[in-house]
Amino acid sequence: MANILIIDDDKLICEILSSFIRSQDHTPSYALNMQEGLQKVSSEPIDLVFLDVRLPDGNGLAMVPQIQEAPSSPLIIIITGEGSRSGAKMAIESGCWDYIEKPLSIETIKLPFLRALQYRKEKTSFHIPVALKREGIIGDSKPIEECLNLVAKAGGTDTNVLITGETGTGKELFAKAIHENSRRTDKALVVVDCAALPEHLVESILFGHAKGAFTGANRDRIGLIKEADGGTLFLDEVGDLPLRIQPAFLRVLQERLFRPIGERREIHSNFRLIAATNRNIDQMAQAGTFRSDLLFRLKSLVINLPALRERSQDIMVLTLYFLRKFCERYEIGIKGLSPDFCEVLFAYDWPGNVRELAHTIEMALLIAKDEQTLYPVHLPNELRLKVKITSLHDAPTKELASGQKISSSASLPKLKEVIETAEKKYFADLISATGGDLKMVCQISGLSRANVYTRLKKYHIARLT
Amino acid sequence: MGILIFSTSGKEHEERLVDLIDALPHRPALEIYHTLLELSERFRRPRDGAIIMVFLLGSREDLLSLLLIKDFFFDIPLILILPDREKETVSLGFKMLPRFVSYGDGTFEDLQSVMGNMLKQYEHRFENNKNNND
Repeated sequence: MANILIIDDDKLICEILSSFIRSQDHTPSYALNMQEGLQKVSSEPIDLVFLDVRLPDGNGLAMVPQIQEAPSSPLIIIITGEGSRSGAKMAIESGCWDYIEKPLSIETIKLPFLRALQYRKEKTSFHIPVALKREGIIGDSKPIEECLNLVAKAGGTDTNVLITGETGTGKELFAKAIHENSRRTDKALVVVDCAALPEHLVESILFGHAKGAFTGANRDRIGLIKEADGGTLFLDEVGDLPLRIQPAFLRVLQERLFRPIGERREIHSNFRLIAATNRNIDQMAQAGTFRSDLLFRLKSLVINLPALRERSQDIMVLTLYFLRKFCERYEIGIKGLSPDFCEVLFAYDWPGNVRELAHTIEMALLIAKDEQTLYPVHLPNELRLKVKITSLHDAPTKELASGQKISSSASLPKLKEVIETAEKKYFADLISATGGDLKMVCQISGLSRANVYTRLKKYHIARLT
Repeated sequence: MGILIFSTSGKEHEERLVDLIDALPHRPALEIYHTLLELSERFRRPRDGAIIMVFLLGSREDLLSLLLIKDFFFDIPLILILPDREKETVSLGFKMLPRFVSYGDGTFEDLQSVMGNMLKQYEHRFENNKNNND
């Protein structure tokens, strides 16, 4: 039995939907405005929200991120009397389950409603195994946890996986995690850098060749597809796989059979395929620069890795991880992080993602030399400048589907709450990263023991033993 | 910005490899190391422009030793030139997660194009992290 929340200012619609929900043996509740809706979704375990767009205290679409961040992370179905393409696009792109135009009918809502609840039931009944191998994948934010859920799922099957994400988000790390959590972990993980391979050699490198098959082929070569037999083949930058090779590769995916260049007989390879790209491969397929039938095969399971700015909650734990790693490598004492150093890290948008963060921490440590604490002055000038320029701009306004402009300050929490939330997260991450070593906690935070104890007590954070 | 070579395969192979690199457009900077100690110490210094690594190995034992310190190669694309094509050697080689594998008994012809492509592809990775504080 699921808990469904309806956020709509029309009480009649709320009651009609409630009646339908009860007929499906679920529990409805409703709110007539944004504020009431947000209060309910933050304090009650809600599985699904029907969300109207035009509400008396604002535009429902602006609530979507806050609803998704609620403890129960409910799914969202948008209901609107003024359907528009841009509104639908915004809703779907922000992760809403569906977008339905009023007037509502049983036919229009039943299927999306049932499918959403089925998806939610399957998703919540699947837990990450306790022993999931995730070497190098740092973070506990919701976006990363969702990706790790998919890693666990992928690890349990042989299905093809496509990993997408900006450069520096960890696509190879995730490919490695899938391989290591699969039954193929004892066999090879063969990496193919599609962008590095010269086009005239791709076929020979992938499929292999017989001695004498072409000028320069002075011995047999086993191709990478065969090297991955029993294991995993990881095609990195798969968007760069030459178009002329794609039909042959598609056949290999379908039949697991292929013929090395110059060989008469076909050979078999039982490999599991993981592919990755930072390009918009759907657009490439539409433009005809990537085969859509091959793309369809690759996308059996898709993992979209979030950009670092989309999981900024992980910046601190990542920073501490890299701080420790590089201090050990360069055999220097652990350094503290000044609050304004941390502020800059949080304010920057990290176009190079985790890789850029790692290099930034590494360079900051080396520039700081014998200094005990890292300050913004140890960061690259360009980074500090970009953060400074961004902070000098006015608060942005968002244009919504209806053409209304609202200030992004419309629903900002109190400053005290923001500070306390950030402080609590900081100390929780610090305890986790240092294993509860109070000396290190004091060193990194720059606070006295007494101050650290006060904060641990305030936020009910237990020291690890 | 350049290439870091670890070579235990003998002078002839090393010279062949260096000649190939010299022939690349915009001949990249080169660092060459011959012992594991030298290589480990190198990785205790900043990466400082090393874009890709090439390991030209003379024996399976060298490969086993490198596997013990592979965490040092964090996020640096690797080209691996294996000493032989034995199943076990190749299997160990793939544990390094190289971006490209070649063999010491080959002609190295394919290596030049691969290195050129990789230099172009990866040099942007470090541009955002240049520090002007010096």
